[in-house]
Amino acid sequence: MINMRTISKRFTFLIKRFSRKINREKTIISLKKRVHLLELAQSRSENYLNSIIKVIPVDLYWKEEQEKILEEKMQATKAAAQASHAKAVAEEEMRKTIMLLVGSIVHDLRTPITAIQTTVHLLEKMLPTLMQNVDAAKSQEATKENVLSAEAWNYLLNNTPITDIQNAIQMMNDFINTTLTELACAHQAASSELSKEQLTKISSLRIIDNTLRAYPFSPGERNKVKQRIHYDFHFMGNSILLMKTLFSLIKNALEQINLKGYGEIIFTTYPDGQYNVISIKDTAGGAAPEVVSHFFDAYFTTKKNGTGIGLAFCKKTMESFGGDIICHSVYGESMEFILKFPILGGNCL
Amino acid sequence: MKILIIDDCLPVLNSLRMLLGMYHYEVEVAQNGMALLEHNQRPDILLADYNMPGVDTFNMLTELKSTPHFKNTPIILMSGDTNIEKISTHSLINDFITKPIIIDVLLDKLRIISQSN
Repeated sequence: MINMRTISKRFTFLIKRFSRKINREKTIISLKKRVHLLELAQSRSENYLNSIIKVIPVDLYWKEEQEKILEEKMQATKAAAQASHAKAVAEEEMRKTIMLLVGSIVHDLRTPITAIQTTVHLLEKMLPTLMQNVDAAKSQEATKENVLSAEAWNYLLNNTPITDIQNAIQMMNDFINTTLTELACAHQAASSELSKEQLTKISSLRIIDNTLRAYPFSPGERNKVKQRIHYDFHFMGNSILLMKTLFSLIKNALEQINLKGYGEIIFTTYPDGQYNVISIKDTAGGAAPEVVSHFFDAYFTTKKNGTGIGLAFCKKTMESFGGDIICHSVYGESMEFILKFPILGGNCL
Repeated sequence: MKILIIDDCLPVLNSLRMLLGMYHYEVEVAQNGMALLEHNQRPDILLADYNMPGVDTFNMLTELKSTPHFKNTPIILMSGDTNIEKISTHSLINDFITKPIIIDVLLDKLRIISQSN
């Protein structure tokens, strides 16, 4: 039989046990909570860390991208600045060239205008005396004081003033025509390659003859040019452009001859491998090798009022014919410009 | 008063020679200044063109001035160049005149130089 005491003990035991269990449960729950919280915190931390870790590469990538974009922008800006600078330099060179050309035009026109102006002034001064002479002759009252000098009479009777004015006008016309042709040819040669339709069959002998007939030689200059031509050939080219090229080479050679006070120009033609050649050689001392190497560079010049266009134009012209131009200089002796034309076949004199 | 004119343009030489002759100047002309080095020209005034093909004018004038004949010869430079004012500051030059030449201006310059001499 279970007495109360036993029941009480039993009950107390159960309560204690239950209580311990509860406490243990609580503890467990508490521990679990803590673990959960820790896990939660850990999870959050991991998430946070992950988020940071994820962000960092994004940040780095973004930074790299930005740097790349910035670099590209800088390079683009630099390229634009370089292009702008190159354009500015080209424009400045063009401006200088135009100014030189304008200066050259002004100078070359003012000289013949001076001749015309002075001759007209001279005639103005002579005519009243001349009329007095006519009147005096009519009335036979001519005296030594009111008679034109013999030199003045010769000047008038030989038509010298008329010839001088005509020559001066011819000089201006030649200069204007040469300048316009030069500008047109330079523009044509610089702007595009010549099409096949623009090339015609030309005889080397004929183009040299035509050039020497058309060139505006000063007195005494023509006999300094010799033709030693035993070989004629035909080539595809543009006669205006080639005549301008030959004009330019003759002009340079004559300037060198006038500067040195000696020398002559010799034209020759000959076959040379896969090319036919027109050679223009002057014997006025040549030029130093360091100068010759820049002859065909645009805007390169050794002349006080040179533009540096002439030989660059010659090069472009010859290239537009499918040929070339080179320069051989023996310093102290001679300078030779060799114009090479592609062979067409069937060439003979 | 003897004037020596150097210019490569023959019509300019012809007309200036005749015109200045009518104003009682004795005039000699030359197309090539360097050739004068070998002559015994003794002008009172040298009237020289600045821009002659193939000629370095200042070099030519320096060489002429180094000879006894031209040592004390005043020089008037004539030119159609656009920058003649700059050219005219050269120490060799006594005066300058622009082309196209106004004859009265040239006569004034010749008179002033001849009086100062």
